[in-house]
Amino acid sequence: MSVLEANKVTKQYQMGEVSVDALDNVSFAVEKGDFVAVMGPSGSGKSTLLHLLGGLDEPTAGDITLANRPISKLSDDEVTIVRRRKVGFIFQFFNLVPTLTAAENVALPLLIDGQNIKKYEPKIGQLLETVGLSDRADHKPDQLSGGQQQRVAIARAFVNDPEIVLADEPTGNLDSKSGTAVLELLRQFCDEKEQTIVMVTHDPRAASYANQVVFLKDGHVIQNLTIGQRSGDEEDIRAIMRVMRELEL
Amino acid sequence: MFRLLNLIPFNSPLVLVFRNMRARWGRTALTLLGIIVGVAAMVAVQATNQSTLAAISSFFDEASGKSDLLVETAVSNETFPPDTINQIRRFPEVQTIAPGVIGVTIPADEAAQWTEQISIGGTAVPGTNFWLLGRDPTADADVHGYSASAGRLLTANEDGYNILLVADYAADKGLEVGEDLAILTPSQGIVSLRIVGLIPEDGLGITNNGIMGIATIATVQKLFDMGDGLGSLELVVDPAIANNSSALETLRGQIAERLGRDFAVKYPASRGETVAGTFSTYQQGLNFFSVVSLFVGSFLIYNTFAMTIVERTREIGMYRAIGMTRRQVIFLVLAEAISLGVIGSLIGAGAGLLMARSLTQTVSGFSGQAIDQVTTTPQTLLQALSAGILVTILAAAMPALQAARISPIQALRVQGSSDEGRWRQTGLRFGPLTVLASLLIMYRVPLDSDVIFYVGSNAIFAMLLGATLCIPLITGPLERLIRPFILLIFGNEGRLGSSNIQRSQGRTTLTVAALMVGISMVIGIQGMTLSFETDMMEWVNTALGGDLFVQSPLNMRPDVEARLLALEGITAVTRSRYVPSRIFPPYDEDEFSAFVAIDPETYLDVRSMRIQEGPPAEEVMRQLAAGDTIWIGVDIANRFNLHVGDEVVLETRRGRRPFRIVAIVLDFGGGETTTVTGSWGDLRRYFGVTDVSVYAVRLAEGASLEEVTAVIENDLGRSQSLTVESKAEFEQKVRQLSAQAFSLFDVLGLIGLTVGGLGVINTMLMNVLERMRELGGLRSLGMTRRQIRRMILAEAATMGFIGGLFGVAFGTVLADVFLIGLRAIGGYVLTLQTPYAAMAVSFGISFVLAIGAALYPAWRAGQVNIIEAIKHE
Ligand SMILES: Nc1ncnc2c1ncn2[C@@H]1O[C@H](COP(=O)(O)OP(=O)(O)OP(=O)(O)O)[C@@H](O)[C@H]1O
Ligand SMILES: [Mg+2]
Repeated sequence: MSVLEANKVTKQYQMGEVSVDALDNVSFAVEKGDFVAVMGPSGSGKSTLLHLLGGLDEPTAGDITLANRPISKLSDDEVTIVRRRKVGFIFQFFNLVPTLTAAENVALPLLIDGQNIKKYEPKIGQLLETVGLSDRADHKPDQLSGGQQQRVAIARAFVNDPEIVLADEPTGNLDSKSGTAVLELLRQFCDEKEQTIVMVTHDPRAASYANQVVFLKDGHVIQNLTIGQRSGDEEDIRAIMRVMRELEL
Repeated sequence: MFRLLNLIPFNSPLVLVFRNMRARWGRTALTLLGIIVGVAAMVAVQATNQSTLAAISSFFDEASGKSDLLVETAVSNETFPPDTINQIRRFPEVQTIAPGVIGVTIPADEAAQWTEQISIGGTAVPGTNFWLLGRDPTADADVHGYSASAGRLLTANEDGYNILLVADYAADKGLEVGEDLAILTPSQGIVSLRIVGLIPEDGLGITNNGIMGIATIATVQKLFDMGDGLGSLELVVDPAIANNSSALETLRGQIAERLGRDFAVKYPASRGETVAGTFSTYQQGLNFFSVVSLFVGSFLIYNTFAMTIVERTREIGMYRAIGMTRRQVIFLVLAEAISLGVIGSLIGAGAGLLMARSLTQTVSGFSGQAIDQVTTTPQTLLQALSAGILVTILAAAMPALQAARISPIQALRVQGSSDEGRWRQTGLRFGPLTVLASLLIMYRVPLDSDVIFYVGSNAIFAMLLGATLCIPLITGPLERLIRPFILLIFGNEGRLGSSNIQRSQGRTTLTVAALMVGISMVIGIQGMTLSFETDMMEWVNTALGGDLFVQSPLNMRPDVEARLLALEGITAVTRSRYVPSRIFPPYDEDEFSAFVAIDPETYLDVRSMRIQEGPPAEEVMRQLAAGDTIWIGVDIANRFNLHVGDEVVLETRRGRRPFRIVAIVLDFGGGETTTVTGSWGDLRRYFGVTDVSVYAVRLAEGASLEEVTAVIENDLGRSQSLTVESKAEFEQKVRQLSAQAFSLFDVLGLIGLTVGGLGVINTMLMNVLERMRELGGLRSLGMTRRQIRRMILAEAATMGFIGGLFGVAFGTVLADVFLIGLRAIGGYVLTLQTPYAAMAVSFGISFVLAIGAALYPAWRAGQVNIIEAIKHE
């Protein structure tokens, strides 16, 4: 059973007279427990695809099914509830709320959902421990490094036990050491909790943490590569780079 | 206050609201300020009005003693024969009748300095004249029950001119029991009165603010040539009836019927209402402004909310991405608005009561009515509170909807969203339309005075909003237009700075808008004040005319005219006389009105008139001389819908008489009392009056004002106790009065400007913080700190320039709208005077204020640490 399915999805942007096909007839499925990396040159439609998958935007044509719900046919409120309960987001710029502490930022999705935060305190504590920030629970974002901030954002993305976590270049704004820590965390969530993750990246090394790499070019899926599950495996990296060369990416 | 917010447990979305309010405390304070200003103005004005009325009514309560009813002639200030008392004696319910008369004069030693003090209502200020009350000692013992604090009370049969004085007044004049007070009398010159006792300044003793004495009725009648006439009767009624308002009303009706329509039978408190009536237009004017200030405040609220939303676009986008519904986003913004609305309104109500304290003193100062305490009703406070909260919610509603439309994708964008297109689009779609619609409402839709408050101030809000939406459409071209000027001041860095204003259009727009509102308030208020003043001066010059005014505390004999004309340096003299009357317009309720009599023969030699409707001035004079005719001012004509040829009925001493309107003139609309102008012949015929209130004098070419004044005061004046006031002195007095009355409005304008300045600081600081990386880049490319600072200042200056331009344009409209409001509410008919000086100054202020406000942000920008800045996210 697919957690996420895109069926002949097309997205056109109208720029005055001309229309840009950001995605053209893309079909795509993600199974439970998959860790999918989406790669492609700049402007190939990676972010657009992620937005559509997460129900942030509507496709011009085609259907998207997320956790058994046809999100492209739902109202804004209904999609929002799906996002709230079934999806986790990790952004390139962390997007933590500067006025909330690390723990409070993690709790934010529950807060929005009207949950009793008290009940979730142990879980939040555990998540913070998983991302290695137990001692930083009461710090505000501006007292944390970029890597730490992104780890808070990861904890936030997983706090509602989402069906799928979507990440757009989560390491794009980090140095390589912090980046590695973030990728390892994602891999860990995937392995230990069977979490499903879709991650957009430019970096072959980051992509090697996934077990499937989807290549996009000019709005088309042009290759689908399955790789081993060993994180940062040199062989996987070489395989990815070979495909990139072949496809002239 | 903010520390408390920490106590709110982290399990409600409200926590996001409070954390945001605390993080942006400056903005929060600004929003609060907007609410506080609006609510405070409302409460202050209402409480002042209520306190004034309460003071007036308690004043008359106290002064009327135990009396339940009051009998006067229908035309007040007239006397009536004493047998009226016998007619009232036939009513067994009436237990006591206390007759009285009043002679108005001044003490002889004050004659030289005396000038008429006018109040905002155009009526004499209490306490400038000395009132000699003629009382019946026996009846007074029952009705007023005053006692002597020194000496003795009067008896029914006093030998000679014996009087009681109010103790405080006697002390002021340095007089004691046994000494004499000399007063002026109409026909017997200076007369000495023997002080036989002193009474405290309470009860009857507060009459005319205590500037009064009590004599027997016979004494006053003799001194003031009244024959055996009486001025008023105070009646004490059987308590069984007095305590039952419908029974009392029945009795009042019966007595009124018996006495006929030459008499008015009133409740003592109604005298307070008449006095209160003279303030009503001023009070309504204040009310209008308090509502306007609430709406200007609400614009400030809108502005800060909109700015916060622009700033939080990314944060709100993230909320949306992780599952916040649109409704929740709206709630987030409105919850902030509600909490700020509640806090701000509460503070505003408190501040308003404090403001009312000083405001009542101002009103007290120019009305002569002592107001000791601020009184208000719970309803007023509740009303102001709910208005404050409601307006805050309304003002935040649009930003809230805007926030709900933020797309979750905007959280993921690398660059903070480019909202430029959206601002311009919204502007194009709604801006000009909103401005047009609000202008149409203000100028083309005739509004009833009941709703003009609300519709008018809403239209002002809409106009400012529409103007704001137009800003992004015009900043581009305007910026290019003024760029050479900015380059001239700030050099080449100016180019960078100036064009920067197009970068974050949302923020630029709202900053320019804040400046615009401040400037337009100042210009609107200045324009109104100037128009008011110009109109008054025009009135002083035409209707009043003349170079000198000759007056006397007592009315003057008509032969003074010939004596004045005989003096060297005087070419023309014309006389006038005010008598109280009532006007009965064809379609409206009757009301108090002054009948002003002029001499058609000489009027045009000294004065002139601006005729709105009717024949030329010479023909008006001819028709007036023919009798049974009057002219009226435009304000009255508008109010009662009267035209030339219409007839109105006036109450005269000979009963009600019809008068034909021969002209409608541009009068000074600011007088509170309704006046009609008729001829000297009619004055004599219908009012039986021949003495004179004022002589207006025209000097000969080259005659010296000082010399003529001295001659009049010393030669003629000695026997007649005349005082002379020059037109310049009178103008000065009028100017001062209007400055006093408008000072409150100026404060409002200042607040508007301050807010504009705060807006600039806020925006420029945001711009600097946001562009740290870019500024670091520029520094690394070799830009000096000085150049960076100049660049930032140039950006602010450009905003100041544009804000000033918008402010001047819409301020002029605002001034005009204020005048329309004044006309609709109070019947003031004023022509707009463009306040050129205020425009130039405000424009300069906008420019300088913007630069001044950017000094700190510019300094911060100059301090950018290059390495840090480049590392900055
Ligand atoms: N809001 C928009 N309006 C118009 N065109 C857009 C919009 N968003 C994206 N596009 C266009 O759609 C195409 C795909 O954009 P997208 O952002 O998905 O690329 P990407 O693969 O994420 O690139 P990058 O790696 O640089 O982030 C591009 O050509 C882009 O110009
Ligand atoms: Mg992208």
